[in-house]
Amino acid sequence: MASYKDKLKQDLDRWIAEGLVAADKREPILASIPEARRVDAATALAWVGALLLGIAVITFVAANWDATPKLVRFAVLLTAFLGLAGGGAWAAHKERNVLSNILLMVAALVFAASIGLTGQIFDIAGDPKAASYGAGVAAFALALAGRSTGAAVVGLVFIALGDFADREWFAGSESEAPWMLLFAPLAGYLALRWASAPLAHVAALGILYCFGWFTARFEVDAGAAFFLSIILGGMAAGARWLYTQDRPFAGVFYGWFAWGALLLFAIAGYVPISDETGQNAGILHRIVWLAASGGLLALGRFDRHSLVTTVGVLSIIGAICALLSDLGLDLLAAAGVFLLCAVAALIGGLMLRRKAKTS
Amino acid sequence: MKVNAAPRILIVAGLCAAALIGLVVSEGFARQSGEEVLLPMEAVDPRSLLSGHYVLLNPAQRLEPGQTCPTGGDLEWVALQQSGDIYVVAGGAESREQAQLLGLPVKGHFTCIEPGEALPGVEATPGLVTLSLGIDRFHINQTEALRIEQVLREQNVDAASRAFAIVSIGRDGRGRLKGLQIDGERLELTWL
Repeated sequence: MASYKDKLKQDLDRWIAEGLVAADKREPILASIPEARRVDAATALAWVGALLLGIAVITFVAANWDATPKLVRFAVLLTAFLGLAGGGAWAAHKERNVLSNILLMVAALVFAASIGLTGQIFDIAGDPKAASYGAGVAAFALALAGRSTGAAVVGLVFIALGDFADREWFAGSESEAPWMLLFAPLAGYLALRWASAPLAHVAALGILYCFGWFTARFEVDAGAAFFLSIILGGMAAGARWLYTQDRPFAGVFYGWFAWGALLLFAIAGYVPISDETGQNAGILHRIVWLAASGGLLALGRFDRHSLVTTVGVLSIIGAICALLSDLGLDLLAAAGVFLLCAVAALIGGLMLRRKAKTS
Repeated sequence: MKVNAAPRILIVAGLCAAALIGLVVSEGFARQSGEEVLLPMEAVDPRSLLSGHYVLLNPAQRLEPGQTCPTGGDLEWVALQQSGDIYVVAGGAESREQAQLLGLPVKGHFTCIEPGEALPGVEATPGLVTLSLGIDRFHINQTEALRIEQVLREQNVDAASRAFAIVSIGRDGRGRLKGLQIDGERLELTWL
């Protein structure tokens, strides 16, 4: 695969031929681009060797696990964890940030495994929820100590596992508050502060999970679901503002929150508004849903945000299917509704075009 | 004062390791200092091969025809009462204090199947009280695990139990497994 520098060489030759760039600028421009890091054969062999050595050690320990005294097994776990965390500390000291991040993430995973294996070694009856929360909190502590986005992702996953363990999800107001309510916003803050895309994706999903819990807590009440979708829409607008301010990875939140808001809005329209009649918001909801999806699609194109555009397209398809399903075989009525929507979209587009010309 | 990343990581890692060691030590002390009870066991299968060799535990007591199920099985506490060498379920309670009025309190719950009455042409069938204390497995080497499992399978419904769980009831009301008693032989958990 050609590197950025190779592509630039081709472009520069073309620009020089077209007279856009002076020929004597070619070498200085290319010199300003650093060479892509290449792994030489010796380094690659060292990585492979280290990997195989690790597998050999793990296999040897696993083969003798049953015959190994309990205290030795426990010591192996602690040594592995402390060795990885110590390696992470050393890498942080040497300012090898990527290595430190990876080692702390693996240390967080090893600590989580150690909690489970310690219970097995000493026959300690464990509470799966407490074990997952413990692993999650330890991973977050390592993440904060070493600025490790990988450890933070591991932490959020284990907090989610703790939230899911032994939980009665639709227990309504009886359901316990998930720890994710605290840790998902914390992870979101860290993702923006540390400019981490993976952490931003996981944190955004965690926040959506919290909204799902709130919806379940309100026993899927239509009014509450509409209200929550509006709040999520507001959060998407806030993330969009950060995105337009060039805040790194705010766009990730913008996309996920927009998706969550539309999904929650779609669900809210199918929940009965009144317990007595059992009627839902009906065709009016589907029309608003269709209009909101079109609006989001236009916004996604305007912002050049592929996730938002995709959400808009998928949502339009969903809204159209819902409308057709509601109208049944009354194709004339369906044609009328779609004509109205098309006219509204055209008028909206023309107004935007006129506004763009005048400004 | 700003602490660099390296010492911060080492402090957090040390605290995590200390927490794990503390858990093992405190659980060990709680297991040693608790009140020991013997609970009869029934056979269950299968063992999970991926989780190491262990025996699945199912503390359960038989109810003879004419006996009735203890009440309050779905409450948070269980009261145990001594019956000869073993302990049996006396009933469930909402709090430790209420359970203490009935017997030895332990956190957990139970389910009960009533014994079937004898009818013309049909023999009476025994009932079963199954206790859930959060102890469901005993890790042991493969040879011992297979022997214990065999004993549990061979247990006759009409004969006296041959396998018992040795459980320590701590001050916190939690039951902790101390070992098993198989055909009178004690297999206790040790540190080694």
